[in-house]
Amino acid sequence: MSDFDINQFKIELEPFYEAQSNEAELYTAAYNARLPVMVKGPTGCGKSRFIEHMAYKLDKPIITVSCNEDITASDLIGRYLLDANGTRWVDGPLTLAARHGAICYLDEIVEARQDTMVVIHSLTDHRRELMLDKKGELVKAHPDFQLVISYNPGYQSLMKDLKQSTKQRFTGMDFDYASAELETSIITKESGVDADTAAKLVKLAEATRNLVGHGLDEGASTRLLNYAGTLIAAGVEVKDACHMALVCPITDDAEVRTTMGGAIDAIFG
Amino acid sequence: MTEEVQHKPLDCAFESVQDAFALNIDQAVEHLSGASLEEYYQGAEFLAKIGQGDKLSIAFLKTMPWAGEHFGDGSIKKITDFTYNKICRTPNKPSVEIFLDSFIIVVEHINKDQLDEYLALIEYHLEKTTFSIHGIHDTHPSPSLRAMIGNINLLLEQLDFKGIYEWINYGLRYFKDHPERQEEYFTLTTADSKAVFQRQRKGLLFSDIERPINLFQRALWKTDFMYAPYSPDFEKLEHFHPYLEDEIIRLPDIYGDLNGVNACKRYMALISHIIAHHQFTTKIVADNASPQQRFFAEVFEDARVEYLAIQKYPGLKKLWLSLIPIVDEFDCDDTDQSCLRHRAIMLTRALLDDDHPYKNEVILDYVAKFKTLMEAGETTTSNSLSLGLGYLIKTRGPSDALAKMYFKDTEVTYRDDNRSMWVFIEEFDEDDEIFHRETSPEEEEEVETIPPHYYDEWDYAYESYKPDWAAVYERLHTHTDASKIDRILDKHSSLVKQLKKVLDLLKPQNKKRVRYQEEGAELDLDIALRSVIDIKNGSQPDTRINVDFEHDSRSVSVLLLLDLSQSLNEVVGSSGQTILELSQEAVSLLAWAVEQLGDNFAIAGFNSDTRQKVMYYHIKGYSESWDDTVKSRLADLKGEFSTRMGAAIRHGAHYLDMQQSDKKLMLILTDGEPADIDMHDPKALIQDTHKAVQEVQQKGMYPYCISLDKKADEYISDIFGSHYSVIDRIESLPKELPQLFLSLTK
Repeated sequence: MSDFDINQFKIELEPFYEAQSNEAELYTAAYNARLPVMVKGPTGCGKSRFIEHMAYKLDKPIITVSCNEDITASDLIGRYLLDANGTRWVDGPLTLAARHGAICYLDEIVEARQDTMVVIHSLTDHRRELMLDKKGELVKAHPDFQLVISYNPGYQSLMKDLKQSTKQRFTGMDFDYASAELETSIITKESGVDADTAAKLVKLAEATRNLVGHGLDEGASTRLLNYAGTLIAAGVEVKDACHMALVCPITDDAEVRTTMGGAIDAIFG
Repeated sequence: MTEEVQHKPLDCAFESVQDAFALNIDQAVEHLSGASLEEYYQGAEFLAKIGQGDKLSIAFLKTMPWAGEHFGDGSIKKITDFTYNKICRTPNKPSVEIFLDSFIIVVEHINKDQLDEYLALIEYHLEKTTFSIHGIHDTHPSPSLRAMIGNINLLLEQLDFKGIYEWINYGLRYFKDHPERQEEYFTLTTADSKAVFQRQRKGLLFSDIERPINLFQRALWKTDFMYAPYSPDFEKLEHFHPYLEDEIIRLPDIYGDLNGVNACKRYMALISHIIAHHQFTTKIVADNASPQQRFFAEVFEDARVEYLAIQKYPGLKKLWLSLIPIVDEFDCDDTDQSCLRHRAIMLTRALLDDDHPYKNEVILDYVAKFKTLMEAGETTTSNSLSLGLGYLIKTRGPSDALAKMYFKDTEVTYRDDNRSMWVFIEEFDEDDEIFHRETSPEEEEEVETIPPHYYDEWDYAYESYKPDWAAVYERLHTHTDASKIDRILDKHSSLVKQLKKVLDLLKPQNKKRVRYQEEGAELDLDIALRSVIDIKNGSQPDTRINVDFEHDSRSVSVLLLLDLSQSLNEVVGSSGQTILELSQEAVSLLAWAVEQLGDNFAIAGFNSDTRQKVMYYHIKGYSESWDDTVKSRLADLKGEFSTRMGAAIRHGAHYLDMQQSDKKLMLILTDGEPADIDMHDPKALIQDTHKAVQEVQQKGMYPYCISLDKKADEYISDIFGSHYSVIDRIESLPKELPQLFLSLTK
């Protein structure tokens, strides 16, 4: 156990991130005080990218857990496994991060069942400790440890929401799609497509975002725009690329697709 | 003076025919080939000699130059033969003239090679509508040929031949034996006729793509205007343009393809243009500008808003260009017609199209001016006005005032009438509204009554729907003393107690097992054993070895549909109670039981007095609770009129479908087969109800019939399949109905 190297979780290359406003300063301040952070925002607007970027900037390891419905407390904390000599305790990602001092990023936390998430409570308040009841150990969090969760309010439903007791342990940061100019520059840099096409892609994305609640649950994300840009930069015909990256993934509704076809024609000609 | 050309004389003794000949022969010579001209002579001479007077030949002489030119050689002969064989030799001869006259219109709408199809259509109509009455040995003329030919313009313009046949067949099917009604149908004045006509129209109905278009305006402009489609030609509103007013976009209800642009794209072009105006046009005062000045200002304004919209959405340019016609620059002769529209359409094209073909200097000059202005940015509607005024001054000519206007290909269909651009300070000379109607209190009341819902009815004989056939009126049921229902419940107190027991059994509803739980109420032995085996093998065991239980909530919506027809007033057996009273008791008990269960529940009643008046009474709504208001309505049930069940089922399904629950049950309580006094075929309404039941099932609802008719076995399974019960002892209905419901929803 002692030869465990937490530095493997460090990010080696700087992830591309274009700041929308002062989010980097806010996050740094929260990190300096070791306050838990909740990042909110629609799919693919750059939440995860931002956290990775900040981990790189702060030179801290980051352990990411993608949450799902089947995730259990043991999956986070750790469990005994059998080996040739009997059993062996293996730390889960949360314990690892707390023990060795990493940022633990729980992505899409609402996907996990509400009662599972109660295990993080003791780590997120003044106690900063984690009880491993099966092992009988109390882990005191490393000074570098910080907990970050992401949360997509678009999913909010009666079934999938955080408990108030969980919510109220975090500081919050709102994310949204970047402004048109910024998004254009992001797509240009990330996908290598020219600025004019990127600007048109952003217009198309705005068109889809206008349809939220009228046939679409969410508009096209910056991520999808990057996909489209990448396809176009690779020589795919613009309309095919838009259909493949921006229409096909987000809707199966034939009427919405007709509309999107019209919008693509209106924007690209 | 040109020398009078000498024509071969017409061999005919009628002076009136000779006059008509003299009037039309120049046209004929000009338009017809040698062979056709020969047919023209022969036809006119022949028709004058068959003993039908001079009218035929006069009509023939008038119209055939056009028909012969359009359809080519041999066509005049064909029409002559058809006229003689199919019309003159039948009792339909009075219609010959109108038939011949129709060719003036017909040539506008059908192709060169469609003459046979047109003649076949007329023949078909004649054959089917000319009838003989046995015994009298007299054949009557078609009552509707004149009416149909009177509408031939509309028919050929809006329908294809297949559509016309469908429309004719529908009329024949229902009005064949009723000359007056038949005539009404074919004049296209009755609601039936119009409804069938609408459904056969060519093109894409706006209602079919309303949603994509709506999403389109929301996606691109974040606007949310409503639509009010109009039928342009059907209402005889010629050159009626779309427009935006009071947040409502008026647009044609149907579009066909144009220049290879499909209807959906055309609607998108229209919406884009109208919203471009909405975004970029500011109203300017119209009073100081003459109509011609306004006309050209509008051309520039249209171009200006489109230019601005294209800056945002460049693809719109291609779309709009494909819908703006290109006319020949020298096609308009300004010595004998007004070229206003010709100049405007060229300008329209040139302003938008960088590769336009026009060489006219004024146009080029103004296009350059327009471009400079637009590239400088910051333009307003007044810029368009000054450009328009300047252009008009440069191009104005004496011919502009001529009454004969060059009109061909000068209309841009997607553009609105630009009413959003002008504001009139002074009152109109010609007011739009001729009558300023004072709304009297009576009329206001009229508005309050809910208009009927129309439902199609299935015609089993022809395997098709009769469109908008049954009119269903919704009303709240009248009410009386609610205590009557409470007395009924008291009377059946022992039954209520019994039911209560069943309900209590139902209430702690089913539990659902949830497996694979890390923590749960019980150990799941199967999984636990598997985990033990995993441990023995040395592999990772699944720790989720428990089962948990969840309440399986009951999500049922129920509609109870009561037949309230006359037959309910019959007294049952020796009890002295009518079926109605027994139904009331049964429904009260059922309603009470359902209320106990907490299911989403509605009660409605229906009866009918012909298809024009199907009444649908709300007795209890889904959101209402079982209180005195509902009881008082139930207490006032009456039985009258007939049972048009299909329409009532369709209307009930309309509301049931909107309920949000997993299971939707429609209980229909009836005492007899579907029937109405305007239907003589007893099978017709049975089949229609069967169709309605199928529709309801397709929508995911579960219809179930409780019949009190002892003879129901003869027909009920034809309607409801296996979803029915027949209650033979009607006296036991109050007991059986709630139990039946419970067993259905258990």
